[in-house]
Amino acid sequence: MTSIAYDPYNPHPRPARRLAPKFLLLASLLITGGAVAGVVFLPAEVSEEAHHTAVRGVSDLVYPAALVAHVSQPGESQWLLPAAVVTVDDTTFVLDTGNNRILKLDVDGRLVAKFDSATDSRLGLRQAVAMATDGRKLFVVDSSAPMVLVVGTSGRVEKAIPLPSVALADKPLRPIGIAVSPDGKIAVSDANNHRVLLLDGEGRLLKAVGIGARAGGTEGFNVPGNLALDGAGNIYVVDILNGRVVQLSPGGDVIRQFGQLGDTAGMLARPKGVAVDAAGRVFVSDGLKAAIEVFSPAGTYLGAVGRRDPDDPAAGSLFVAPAGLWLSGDRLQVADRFAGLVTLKVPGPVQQAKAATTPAASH
Amino acid sequence: MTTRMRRVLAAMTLALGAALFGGAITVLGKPADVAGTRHDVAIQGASPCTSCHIPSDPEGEALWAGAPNKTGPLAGNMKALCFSCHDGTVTAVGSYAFDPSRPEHVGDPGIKGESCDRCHDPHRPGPGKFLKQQGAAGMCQECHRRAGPADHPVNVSASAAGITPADKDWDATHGDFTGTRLWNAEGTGPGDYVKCLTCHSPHGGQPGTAMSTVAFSGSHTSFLPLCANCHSRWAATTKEAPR
Repeated sequence: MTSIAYDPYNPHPRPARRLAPKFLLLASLLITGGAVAGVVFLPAEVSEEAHHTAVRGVSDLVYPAALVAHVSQPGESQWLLPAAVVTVDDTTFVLDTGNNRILKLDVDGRLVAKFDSATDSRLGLRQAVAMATDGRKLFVVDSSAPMVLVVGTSGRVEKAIPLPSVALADKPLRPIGIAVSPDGKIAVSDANNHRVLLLDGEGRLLKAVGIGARAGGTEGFNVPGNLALDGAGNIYVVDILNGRVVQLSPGGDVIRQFGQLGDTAGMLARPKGVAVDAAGRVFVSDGLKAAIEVFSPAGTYLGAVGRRDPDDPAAGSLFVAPAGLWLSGDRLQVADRFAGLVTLKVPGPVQQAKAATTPAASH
Repeated sequence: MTTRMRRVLAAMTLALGAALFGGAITVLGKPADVAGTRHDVAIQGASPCTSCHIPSDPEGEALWAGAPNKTGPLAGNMKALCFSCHDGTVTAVGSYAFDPSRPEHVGDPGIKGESCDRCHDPHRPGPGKFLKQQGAAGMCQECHRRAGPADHPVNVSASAAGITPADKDWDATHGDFTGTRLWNAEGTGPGDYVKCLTCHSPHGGQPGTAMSTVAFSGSHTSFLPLCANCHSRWAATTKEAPR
């Protein structure tokens, strides 16, 4: 087992628990022998210790990141189960899912305004879990309504783009992910029909990716969730129940996939949010591992952020249920359904220092 | 120790082992139970087990991915696992159960059978909502067995008793925990019957009450406002000392 890298949230980590190989062998023999004979005598503590050590072939990596800010609540007007966050210029917008509204925060995380059906009757959210921006406006999808709401930064609904009537059988569209490209194209994930819909700016269908049933591989998705775009317009799809991220070309062809269902290093238990930086690194929030996992552009696992000691499942995490992600330069914002808004600084990869001078990736 | 004693001891040991092994099997779900239910979310050809029993690193007894936070709103393993789908993404069904602003039924989330699995068995659809017990909205009696003469009658028709609650309309699908909720005879949806969940809500009771659907009023520290929802004359005739 490799040593634990420096964790800015836990500067004095406990050393990884490890048992001597001889003891492990003895414990294994005892457990095996005990099971065969039907005799149960091994203390649970020893059994668990031996088991954890035995099944881990590789230590999780702690990815270098620094905590910049943590807003557990924006003030008296509290959010409830926030699911998404985006930034337009220096202003942060949080999708306050539990209260069916959008909160506008200043650069210091202070509440500036609340947008809901009281401020604009067309903003009648009921179960909205995804929001994106083209850098000027907010694009919100509500899983209970087949449309995209385009909301100005002052909270006015400027447009309601109906989603195309392409639901299959008796399953109405249930949009739970959205990404918007700078040229106005929209990608929406439809959880009910297990597809990602590529649309033009008016909501006309360009392509539906997926077979319309739970699928894996290059066929489609089980439950496509959050979406993100990289600088080249490639679409990154979180396939929640397949524990992976699928990279699509701007035209919707599968380029690659990475991650698989699991809860050890580099595996995804319940991927939720995704963001891609200018260097092509992919950040994936995992709601069950309570961590942000980082992958190279090729899908190589680089490490995790959040769990105080990735080798110790009981050590706790900075997060509770991280969901939507948003990257602005080296600032990664995380909407955690229970912990609130967490902002991290994620330095660029050393070997790709030039990336710092490239334009920021779109989402 | 005689040979006979050794044989008896060996037989007892084997029997104990078999019982433990058999017991372990009986408490686990079977793929056939889950297959075809709404919890069967695997892709075609895959095991229905691995969506929840996340492979590779079983942390403890239950083989599902462990929640790293041992305290807080998702403490323990099971609640985090349930929320990982019932959070409005994979499904919006039941997401209201995780509203941290509303008190929920007491439990000990770190102990098997004391979290969501106190009332739900994710392996079996049961009478609805994967409930463990028959009775649905009246299943509280499985544990709360007082049923004494002082208890409010349940499983009775409100209209037959001449009762029309002030707030009789409620939304069964979106976590409506307010007012008086009359159920159908099976306790699975809106209807005319008084059930436990007519006045109580294990997922979203009013703060400071016994999981009641109606908050105490500003001037009362009792269930009077809840009772008055059906027994309207009480509200007019009964006075309580103010707080």
